[in-house]
Amino acid sequence: MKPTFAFALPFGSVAFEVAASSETGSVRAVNEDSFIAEPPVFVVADGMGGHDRGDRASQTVVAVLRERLLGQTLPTAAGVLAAITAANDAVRGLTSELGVPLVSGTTLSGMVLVGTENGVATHWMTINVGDSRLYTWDERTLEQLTVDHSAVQELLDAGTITEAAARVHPERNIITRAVGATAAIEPDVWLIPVLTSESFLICSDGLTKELDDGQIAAILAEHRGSDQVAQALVDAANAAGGQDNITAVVVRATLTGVSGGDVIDNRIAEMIDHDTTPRIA
Amino acid sequence: MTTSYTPSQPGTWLLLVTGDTVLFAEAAVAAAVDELWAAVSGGAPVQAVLDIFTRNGLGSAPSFALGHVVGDTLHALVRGPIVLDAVAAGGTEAIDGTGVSTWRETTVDGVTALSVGEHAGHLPIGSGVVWASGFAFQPGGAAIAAPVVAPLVEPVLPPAALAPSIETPAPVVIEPPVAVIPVPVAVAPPAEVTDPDLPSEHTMVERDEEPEPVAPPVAAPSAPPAIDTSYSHLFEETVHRSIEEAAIREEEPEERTVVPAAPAPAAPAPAATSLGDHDGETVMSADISELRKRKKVAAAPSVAPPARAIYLELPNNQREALTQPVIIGRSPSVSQVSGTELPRLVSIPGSQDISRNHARFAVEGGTVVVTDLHSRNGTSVALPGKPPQMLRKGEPTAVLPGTVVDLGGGISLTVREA
Repeated sequence: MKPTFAFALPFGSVAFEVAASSETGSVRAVNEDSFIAEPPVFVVADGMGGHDRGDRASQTVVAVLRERLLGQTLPTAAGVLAAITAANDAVRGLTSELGVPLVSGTTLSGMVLVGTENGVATHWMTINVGDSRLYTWDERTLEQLTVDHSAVQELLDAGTITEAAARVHPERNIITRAVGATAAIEPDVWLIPVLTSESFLICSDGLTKELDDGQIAAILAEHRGSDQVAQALVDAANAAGGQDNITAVVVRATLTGVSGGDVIDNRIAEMIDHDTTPRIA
Repeated sequence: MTTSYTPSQPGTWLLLVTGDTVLFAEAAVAAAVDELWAAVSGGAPVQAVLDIFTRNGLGSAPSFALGHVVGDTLHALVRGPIVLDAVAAGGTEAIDGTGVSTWRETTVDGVTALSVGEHAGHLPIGSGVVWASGFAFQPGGAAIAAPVVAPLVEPVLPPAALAPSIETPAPVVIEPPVAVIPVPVAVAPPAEVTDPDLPSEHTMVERDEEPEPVAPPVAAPSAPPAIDTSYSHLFEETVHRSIEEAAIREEEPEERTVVPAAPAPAAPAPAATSLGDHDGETVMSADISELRKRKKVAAAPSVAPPARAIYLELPNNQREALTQPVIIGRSPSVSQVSGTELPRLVSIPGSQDISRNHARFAVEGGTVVVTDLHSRNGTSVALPGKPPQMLRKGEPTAVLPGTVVDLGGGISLTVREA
C-alpha cells in the first residue's frame, strides 16, 4: 500500500496507506456499490432499490461527501454530519429521466479523520447507516465496530435468533436505516481519539455475507501491507459465490513523529483508563 | 384585571396559580404536581413548597419563583435563572435568582402585580396549572374575575354579574394555542359555594390530557415501522417493514430491499397516513422521525424562557458554549451515539489525574447538569460560596452558574452565564 500525504496531529502527524476494490460479483448485472478511499475520507455506500436506482443513490452520496469533505482543510465532526444530511437530501431529490421521484436509498459506513476548526486532527469519526461495516484490524484481531441497522441484527439483539441463523435468515437483506429513506437521517457515530496507529476494513455486505470474520482476518494477515489486499478480499468473496456486489476498502493509518505521554501503543491504549494516576488525597 | 400567562409547550415551565399564591417552576416539578397544588392551595404555601423542593437536598432543588401575597405584602423566593418583577407603589423590584446557591428571598410591601418574562399574547387564568413561558400575576385575581376558558368538563360559569370587566378578553373560545396546551381552569368565584376538591380534580384532568413529555417520544422505539405487505408491490421490491414482520416472512428475493417510506412531506400530517395503511394504526419510521423532529423543533425555542447563554470557562480562559452537551477529559471519545445528539469533545491533555472521559456538561430544562463519567479521581463541585463537594459517579447533578468544577490535576472549570 502506498503512503499518502500526512495530516497534522496535536503532536506529530498521521499518514495513510490505502487499498480499495469494488466488483459487481457473479450474479448481479450492475454494481450498486460506491466508495471513497482518499484521505481523510474512507466510506462505502451500498445502493439499493434495484435496477438503475441503487447505483445512483450510492453515487450521489459519494459525490456529495467528496465535494464537501475532500477539501484542503480537515473536516470537523459537525461538518461530516452536515455533509451526511446534505447527501440524504440529495438522494431524496433524485428523479428518473421522466422527472418521477426515485424511491432509492443506500447504506453508508466508514471513517473520516476529523479535527478542530483549524485543521488539527483529533479523532477517528466512524459513521454508520445500514449494514455495510467498519472493522478495526490490529494485525491479529478483526473487530466489528459498527452495528448493522438490519432486521437480523435486531433479532440478534433481542436474542430471537443465533449468529448462525442470522447468516442464512431469509430477511438478511432488510435494513432498517438507509441514506435517503427518511427526511431526517440519524447516523450512528463514534469519535475515537487519534492516539495510535490503526487499521480499518470498510466493506459492503457482499463481502461479509460470503466470508466470515476468520476468513477475512486470514486474508488481511496474508496480504499485510500489500496493494493487493482489497482485491484479494473481493476475489475471495467472488469465489465463494459473489451473490452481491462486493466492495472492500483497507486503510492503514500510521502515526509518525509522535511524542507526548498520551500517545502509546495499541495494547496500552486499551488499558489507559486504568493508567490514570490515582490522586493522593 | 386578572392574572394572565403566556402559554408554552409541555416540558418547559409549569405555572401554578391560585388565590394569593403563584409558583413558576422548571418542568421537572411536574412529577410532583399534585403535592405542589396542595401546597400552594394550603395555608402556608411557602413552607409547604420548600419542603417539597428541598426533600432530596438542595442540589436537586429545581429553579423556581414563588410568590405569596398577604394583604399587600409579597413574600417572594426565586432560585435559578429567573427574574421575578414585583410591581409596587414605589416602583418595580426585580428579584433575580441567579448567582445564589440557595434562593433569593425577600418581602416587598404594597405589591400590586408580579411577573416573569414578556407576557405578550397572554391568556387569562383564574386558578390552575398550565405550561407557561411567563405570567403576570394579580394577587387575589381569581376572586374578581374568573373567565372560564374552554373548560375541559362541565363549565362552572360564574353568574353574569361577575363577568370580567372591560378589557379582559372575552372569556370564550380561544383559538389554536389552547389546542396544544393544557387548558387553564378557572375556578368559580368564591362567592359561590364550590366543591373544595374542584381545583385538584381539574389538575388531574389536565395531566391526563397533556401531551406526552417532550423528551424521547415514547412511541418511537417500541413501535417499529410496519407497512402492509401488499404495499410493497407499489415500489417493486423496495419495502420497509417492521422487525416483527420481517421475522416471520418467508419469501423475499435476494435483491436488497430498503427503507424508504413514502417521501414524507414536511406537512404536519398525523402519524398514520393514507398510503396502503388499512387500519390507520401503522406508523412509518419516516413519520416517527418527522414527529420527533417536529416536537424537538416545537419545544426548542421555548425550553428556557429566561434563556441566557450558558458556557464553561476553561483553564486557558477559553469559553465552551453549552449549546450542546460537552464531554471533557484527557482524551474524550464517544461510542455509537446518534448523529443528532453528538456532544462536543473537549480535550485537556497532559494531566494523568484526569480520566479520558471525565465529566459531561449539558443544559437540561434550563439547568446546567454535570455528570462525573466514572472518572478515576472524581469530580468536585463548589457552588458559589460553598465548600467543594465530590460528585457521585455517574449521577447527573444540577449546578448553578458560578459553580467551580474541579477535575483534579489543578484543572478546574467555571460554569458561567453570559
